[in-house]
Amino acid sequence: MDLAALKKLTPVMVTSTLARCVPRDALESHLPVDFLYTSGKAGRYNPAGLNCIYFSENAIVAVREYERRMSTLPGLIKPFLTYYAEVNLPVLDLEDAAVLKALDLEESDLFAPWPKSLGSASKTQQLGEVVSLQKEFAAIRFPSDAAHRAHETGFNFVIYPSSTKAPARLKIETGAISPSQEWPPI
Amino acid sequence: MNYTEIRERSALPDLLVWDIAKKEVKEGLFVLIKILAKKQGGAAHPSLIIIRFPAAQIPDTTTLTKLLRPFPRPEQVEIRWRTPKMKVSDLVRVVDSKLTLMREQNESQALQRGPRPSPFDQSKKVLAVTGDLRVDNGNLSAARIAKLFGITESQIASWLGKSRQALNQAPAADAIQPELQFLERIARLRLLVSESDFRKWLKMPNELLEGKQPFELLASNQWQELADFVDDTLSGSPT
Repeated sequence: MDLAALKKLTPVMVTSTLARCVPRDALESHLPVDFLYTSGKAGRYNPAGLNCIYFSENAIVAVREYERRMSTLPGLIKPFLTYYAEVNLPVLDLEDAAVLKALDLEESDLFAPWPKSLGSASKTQQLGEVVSLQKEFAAIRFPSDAAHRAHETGFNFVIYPSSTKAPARLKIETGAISPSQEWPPI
Repeated sequence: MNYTEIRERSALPDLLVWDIAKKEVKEGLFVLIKILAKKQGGAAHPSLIIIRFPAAQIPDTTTLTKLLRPFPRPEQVEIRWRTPKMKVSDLVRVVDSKLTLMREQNESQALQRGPRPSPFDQSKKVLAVTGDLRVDNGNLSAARIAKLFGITESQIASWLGKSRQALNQAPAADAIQPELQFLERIARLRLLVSESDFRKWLKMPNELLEGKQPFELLASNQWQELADFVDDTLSGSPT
């Protein structure tokens, strides 16, 4: 993955409300909730050790993601709560075919399995690492694998704290259950 | 490797040989050192870094100390000087055995270090779910974990690299707590499923684990990966 290729691309400013569904029992289990906790565990767009947070573009995609996770558990689907993040972020949009071409990515790369442990990284994880090392882009908008498997179109966001600098902003709408949280920290 | 290549790597390679150019700017050198040191700190695998200076430009001891200070594992950094006779291929051959031993040592220590922190470590409700795996002094018990996971004590002893007799005598010994913490993290899934469904889940092929059963990951000591997977499930992380 090439930092030089990334520098030729222009970020898309996204002002939106992102969503994530969490099992109710888990969310209510530790109040006040740290909605922006990052542990550095590997994800589709981050190799192990790189901190970031994932959200879905809207509540519908968030539910698809939740259903996919819960489909791997025996028994009935567990009740969930949805929480929201207000964002204003410069985004690298992987829906744009020209962006994929510039980054030498195929659509199949976006849905490929990704390594869970250290030692190797998928193309998407390498892209995440490169994005986390610069400040022009704070986030990546990428197709949801869960929506894709449900034959729908939907997108997720991955946001890197190291790249989120004002005026870029992410604010968790916590309602009354927790103090407000945001990146960059206030 | 150049500056961009080093920055762009997601993790350090097992061996990195960095030849300092004759006209390397000192400030640039320190910037690169900081990047390498950060990556070394974030890496769970051993990585040997060899920094080679032109023969006539070996820095003084004070500068060398300053160069090595940012590295969390300075013992995995070597300073050498470049000579026309010492090719990189020869160097690789020389350090290969050292790398092999470092990898062996790292693998054997990975489980003994315990799992990385989880967002649920401070959650009383989550910890209450696995409270029955602990004995009176708060330590986790291998016998109780084996019962929950539906495995024999011989099997858990084998996972832990202990004899069954040793485990029988001290199933909640301090020495095995880091390894047992991985299994406690995995057992937190019981926040969402019953005990019998948890055992069922362990044996179900899981599409988010590339079709493998969680049990297969346990048997191959991929405990951190499975603990992370449970965290992702509890926190609703997109797939």
